[in-house]
Amino acid sequence: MKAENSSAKKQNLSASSGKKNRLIDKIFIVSILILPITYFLIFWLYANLQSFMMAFQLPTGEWSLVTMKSVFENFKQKDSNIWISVRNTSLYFVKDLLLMPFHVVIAYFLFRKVRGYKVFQVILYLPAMVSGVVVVTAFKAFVSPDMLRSLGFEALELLNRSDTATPTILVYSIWLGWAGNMLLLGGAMARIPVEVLESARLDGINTPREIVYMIFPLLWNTLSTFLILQLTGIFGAGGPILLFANGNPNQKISTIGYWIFEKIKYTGASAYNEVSATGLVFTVVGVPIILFLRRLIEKVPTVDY
Amino acid sequence: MEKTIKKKKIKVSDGNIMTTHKGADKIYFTVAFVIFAVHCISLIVPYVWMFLSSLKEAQEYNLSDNLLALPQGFDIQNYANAFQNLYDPVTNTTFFGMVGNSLWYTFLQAGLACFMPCLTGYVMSKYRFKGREFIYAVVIFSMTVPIVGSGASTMKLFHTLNLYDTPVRLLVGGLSGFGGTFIVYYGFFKGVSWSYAEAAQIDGGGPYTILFKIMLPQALPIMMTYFLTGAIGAWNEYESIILYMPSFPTLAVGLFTYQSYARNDMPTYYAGLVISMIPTLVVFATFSSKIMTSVSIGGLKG
Repeated sequence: MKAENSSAKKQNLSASSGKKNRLIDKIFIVSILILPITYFLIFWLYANLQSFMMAFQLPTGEWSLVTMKSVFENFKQKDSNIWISVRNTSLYFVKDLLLMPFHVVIAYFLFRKVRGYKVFQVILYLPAMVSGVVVVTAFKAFVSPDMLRSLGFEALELLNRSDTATPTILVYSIWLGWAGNMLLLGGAMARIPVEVLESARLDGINTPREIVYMIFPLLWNTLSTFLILQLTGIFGAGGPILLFANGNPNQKISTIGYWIFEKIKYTGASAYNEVSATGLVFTVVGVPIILFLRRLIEKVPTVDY
Repeated sequence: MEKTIKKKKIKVSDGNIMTTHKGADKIYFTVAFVIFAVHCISLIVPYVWMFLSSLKEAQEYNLSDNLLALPQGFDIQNYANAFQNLYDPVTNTTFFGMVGNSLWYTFLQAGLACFMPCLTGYVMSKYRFKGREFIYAVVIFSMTVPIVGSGASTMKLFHTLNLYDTPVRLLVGGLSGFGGTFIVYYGFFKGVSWSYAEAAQIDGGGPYTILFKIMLPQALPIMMTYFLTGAIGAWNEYESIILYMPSFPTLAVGLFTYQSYARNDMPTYYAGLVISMIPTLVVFATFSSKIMTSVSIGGLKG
């Protein structure tokens, strides 16, 4: 064990002081890593193992397949809450995927200092600064029937109808989501050597081609990370559903994440096993697909600079 | 021919490539400017409307046919009312109580979330030891494999460990030194030269000296960015508090739960929302350049 690039040999340290240093290093490493690793073991490893076991237990703790069977029964009902949640989650996930290239384009124009870029950067980042409670309240006021009437539109209950509630929340997410990963993408672009872009310019490349043929390949390392993390979070995709939910079952805006939240918070301990069993089904279906996609993503060569 | 090439070269390199937009580029950048401007206006309008509505009297707001109408007078009484009347209806926490909860929650959450991954990122990137690759692989695996539904067992665990609905849960949660932030720190420390540390070693400095006197100061800009963004996120957080710490409502939680009680006096409620925005906006206005400091993330291969 040694510190990276250590020049212990160069320093011609005696064997005993080398041993002492190694011991100090060991103590240092253990002291830093012990708490995070313990946390990981309890709240990731143990929590997931327990979740797996709970899927095959009753709320009383008895081993049983009843919970798992009831989950499959739920999946058989096409209009069940869990199916609505799956459908909505898929919509949000696709939206997130489609927005990713759009985010790169936005970050590109800010990186290339479009006029007023400093102001735009701040305003685009504003929704991330302000509580979702504030933003959603303002948005809800603007799509309320009274406001729509004030604006000269038909006074529709957009958030109370199943056919318009989720599309309205999707519009909200897209409207606010321009700044998605703006900092990280901007950071990645700032690391691109300016000479590379300059030489491409000398070869006559224009803006669209620069984005497609220079920026995207050069950012692939960062973008692939986002893609992998996005795939990992596929079952958690969604908007601030809790803030939009108003107790009206006609909304049909639930997502998997919100379904889990609702069960844990409002149904309580009696629903824990159902949540674990449903989660296990999603995990079993999702993991192989996502690992396969991850492999594909990783096969695309990255550019080092 | 040579002349043309020379001319072209001068044309491009005499200006900064980042700011010089010529020919068709000008059109692209003008279109982009217009789109950005329109979108930014659309983002600001709701906040302005909310602020103006907070200056209306309740009756004026409720009876108006036109919600976009300007307030008849600029009455700041709603702001005084917000301090006095807004409370968390579930726990009966006052406005000031909620502000107090927001403060300690924000500092604890943001402080731990920026500090712990920094330590793990440093050790994992700069020290070679047995099990290092294994730990790294497990961490990456845990980040890239979607395990769903463990929320229920985590909640059960919180109950078992008596962490549910206590501030200690926050402290324990802050011990997590892995995740996305870890990856950023890991990549950052990988790029930091070890030569200063070697000089410190020659002077008899131990690993803690190197960490606190040489490495952490270099990571301060990133730590600052993470602290600020984390603090803003924690100030605005509501879902995890509703779920795990319902007896400690922050301002965001209180305003969320109070919503259904506010129907008859929306202007006061809007005043409360405007007040809740002030700290984050002040922080953002003060440190926006720091927050916008380049943060980069590397690949997840490993």
